[in-house]
Amino acid sequence: MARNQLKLLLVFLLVLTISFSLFVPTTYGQSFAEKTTRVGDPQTFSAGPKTQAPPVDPQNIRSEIRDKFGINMIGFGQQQMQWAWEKLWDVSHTNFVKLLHPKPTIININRINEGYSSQLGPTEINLKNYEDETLFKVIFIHELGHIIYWYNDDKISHQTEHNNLHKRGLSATRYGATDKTENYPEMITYYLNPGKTEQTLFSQAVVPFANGRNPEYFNLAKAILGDY
Amino acid sequence: MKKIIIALLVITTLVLFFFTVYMALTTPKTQQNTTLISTITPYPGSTKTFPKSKELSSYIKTTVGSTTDKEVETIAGRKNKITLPDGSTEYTFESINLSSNDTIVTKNNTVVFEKANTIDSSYTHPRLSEYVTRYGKADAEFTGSKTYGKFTKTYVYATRGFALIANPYTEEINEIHSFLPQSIDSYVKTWGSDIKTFTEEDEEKL
Repeated sequence: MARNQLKLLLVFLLVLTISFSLFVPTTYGQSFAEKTTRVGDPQTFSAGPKTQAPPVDPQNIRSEIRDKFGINMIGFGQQQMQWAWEKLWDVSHTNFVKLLHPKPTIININRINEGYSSQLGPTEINLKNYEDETLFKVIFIHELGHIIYWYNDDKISHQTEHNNLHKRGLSATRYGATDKTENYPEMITYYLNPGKTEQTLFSQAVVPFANGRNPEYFNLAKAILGDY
Repeated sequence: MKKIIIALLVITTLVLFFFTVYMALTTPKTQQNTTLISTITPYPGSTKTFPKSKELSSYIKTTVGSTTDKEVETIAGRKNKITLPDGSTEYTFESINLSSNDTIVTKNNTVVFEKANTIDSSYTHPRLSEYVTRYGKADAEFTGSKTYGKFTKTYVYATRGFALIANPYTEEINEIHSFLPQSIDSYVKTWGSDIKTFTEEDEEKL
């Protein structure tokens, strides 16, 4: 009887130990199970190679974007949310996501069907449900770029440095030339969408940072965001 | 044979158990990874730690109602001097912020207005909350600035003779205006040309 009890105790101890090591967070902050099933980790904001967006259940994509990136996509189609998911993972190795949240907040992005996409406040954006993938991703990052400009200290956003470049007559895009507060997110979005032509109303099929164009803004974007 | 197996099982279990406890207790914490956005650690260098702010008066080079033209002309870094339509004189000075020159206006040989940038060479700004604590709530606030954009606010302490132009989200002050105490309306009419209410027309076109 004592032997059987000992065996039971041993089995119990073994199961407990395995469970403990697998599922309880250690001082690393993650359990072993969590660490090995997570593909990249934007919330640790670590530099490194680009991360491919992991597959996600379409039913859960909105909550996944909210939980992992602090962005609440309201009213968007499945395709647009998939693009947002891909783009956020694509930039997750830079400082981009971290700079969206200098304070713990959720950014609400509201789908609109008419009018223009715009930033309403530090944590609220209106965004059209663009049906072109490139246009959606460029404008998505552009609008979020406004938040970086307004919501971070000058030393981090480099706002004064940027505005001084703009005052000297330099602009990242033709649209950016119209207003320095538009030029800043233009700089951000085309740094994080290299090879894409200008997507705004003033589009002239120019790739803003191609062939060494706009080096001042390219270098500034790199200083703000890190390597893309 | 059975005893050997049991013994091995016991040893393995105990080793695994104590190893796990050791790792959990001794490895220093690095950072928490959680899916809860509310626990995201602020970006290093965030607004959590404020540098000690200078007195606002230290940004101002003159005393309104007292400093004369002759004294203003001795101030270094002058860019320009013009006569305004009402006969007053406007002096502009070098500033780290190219969007807005430091400016002094004199009338009848006395300074009546001074505008000073508060950004230093390391892009550090004084913070709004420290001055609200010291001077109280502003007499009036206006949202929208031609120079700084649609969310920037002008905080007018009209009866005290100064105004602050600041980003309300970071609380970073960009400019201080010094003037003779007056009404809010008088300030807006005379010195508040930067204030702008943004409309739909000004909105983005994306």
